[in-house]
Amino acid sequence: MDMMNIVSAVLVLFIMGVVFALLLGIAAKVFAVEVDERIPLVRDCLPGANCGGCGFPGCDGLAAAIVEGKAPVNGCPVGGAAAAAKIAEVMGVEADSAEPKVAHVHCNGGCNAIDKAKYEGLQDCSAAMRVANGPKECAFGCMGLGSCVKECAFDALHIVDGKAVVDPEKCVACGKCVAACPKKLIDLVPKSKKVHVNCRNMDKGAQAMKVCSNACIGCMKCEKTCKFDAIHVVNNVAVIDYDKCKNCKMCSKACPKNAIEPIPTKEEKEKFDAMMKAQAEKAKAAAQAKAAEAAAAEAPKGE
Amino acid sequence: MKFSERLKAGVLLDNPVFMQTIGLCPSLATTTSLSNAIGMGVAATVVLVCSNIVISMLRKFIPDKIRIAAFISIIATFVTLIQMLLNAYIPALAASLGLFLPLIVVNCIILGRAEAYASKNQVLPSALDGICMGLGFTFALVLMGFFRELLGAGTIAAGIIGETGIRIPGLFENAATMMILPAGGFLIMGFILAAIQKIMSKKEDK
Repeated sequence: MDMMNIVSAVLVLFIMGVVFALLLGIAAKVFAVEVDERIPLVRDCLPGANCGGCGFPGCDGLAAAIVEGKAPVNGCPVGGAAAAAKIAEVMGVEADSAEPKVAHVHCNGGCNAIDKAKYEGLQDCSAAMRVANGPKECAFGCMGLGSCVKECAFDALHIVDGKAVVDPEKCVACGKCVAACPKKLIDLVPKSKKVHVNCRNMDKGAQAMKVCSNACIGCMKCEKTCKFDAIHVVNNVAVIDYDKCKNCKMCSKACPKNAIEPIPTKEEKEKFDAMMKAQAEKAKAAAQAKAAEAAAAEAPKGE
Repeated sequence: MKFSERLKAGVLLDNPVFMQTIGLCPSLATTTSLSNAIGMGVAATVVLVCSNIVISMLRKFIPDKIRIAAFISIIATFVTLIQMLLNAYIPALAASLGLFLPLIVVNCIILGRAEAYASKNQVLPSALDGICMGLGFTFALVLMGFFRELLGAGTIAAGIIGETGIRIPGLFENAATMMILPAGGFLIMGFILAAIQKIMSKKEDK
């Protein structure tokens, strides 16, 4: 091989490269498409591994989906909280929306919920639902057949005492179980919040009491106890507003049915009752004192 | 060779997909609907014609030893152009073809025609060859896309005739979704190949 071959090869490729680069440069100007400027910004926040762990085709796909609002800002499981915070900044969303979430099963019925019949059909929640709305007397509760457990790819869901329970350490908040539950009992809740109402029974108190010893009866005690306006009885069942909840756990102690998690121990409950009693007495005493004061103030006027 | 003969060769006798069975990746992946198939076919044809013309123009300057690199850079240039063009004017098609649009660069048909024809022939015949082979490829895609869309979605030409196309009553409600999935691509491909082989063998018998 003589020198000419190499030189000509280099020259030809070089000239072709220059010509085509010019052509493409012009074309890029002529056919320029305005893309959302946030897409490249979001793309820069992502790790760039193109692993597909988010369910989108690579990091570009996720970036486009985030900007279009089809994916959450914490959509990247690899980048984690750090990437989510940066993306949240680009998207102008508050960083707290990137707070990690976990699935939570809003039912504590299980063995406490009364069976109306023995179900021996296909061990699947949707199938059981078709037979007279499930085997439990409670039409709203977990049937414990584990459709969500089958759906979970992370071994984070198990049937414990007849109801599904999430292991918050293993849960990655993929949302598959949320879709799988035909009773709509599973929600993604902020991981930092520890207080949950474990009942979705919308029957009136007396009826709810009949079907499950753990059911929320809508007695309003939790609503009255909460100092942060974070729990309300809606449709005969207590619902927590996670934005307002401060994890003080007072509502769980106030609940006569242990329907709010964390379920208090006996001592805690007694302590709480004693405290409430003392408070009530104090209030009573204060009211009496006030009345006496008012009477005393009125007395001289009368003279 | 006359144009009509060449056309017959490209579309039927030497059809790149059905006879040479090359370029199967885009044929299986992008034929989920008639509109996708036509889009892919036309995009590939334009690239094929342009690259054939340029390669046959440059065939005397490109040293033999670096011809593949040169061909690929020529093809890549045109694919990038087409991609920009589609993004600018038919973004819906560009989105639905997705990754398979830039993958035209490595389509065997285009490099194959460059190697087998354009690098040895003059500009005009090379352009004609590009058109005929491109039409053959498009024809194959259209055939597959038509049947896959018909069986898999129960529609004809969705996205071409209005948004929903022609809905086939009875089939639309009970469409065999599998035909749109990759498995359906292989099935339809197999059936069409079998039918063609049957026809060809009958012809040979005569």
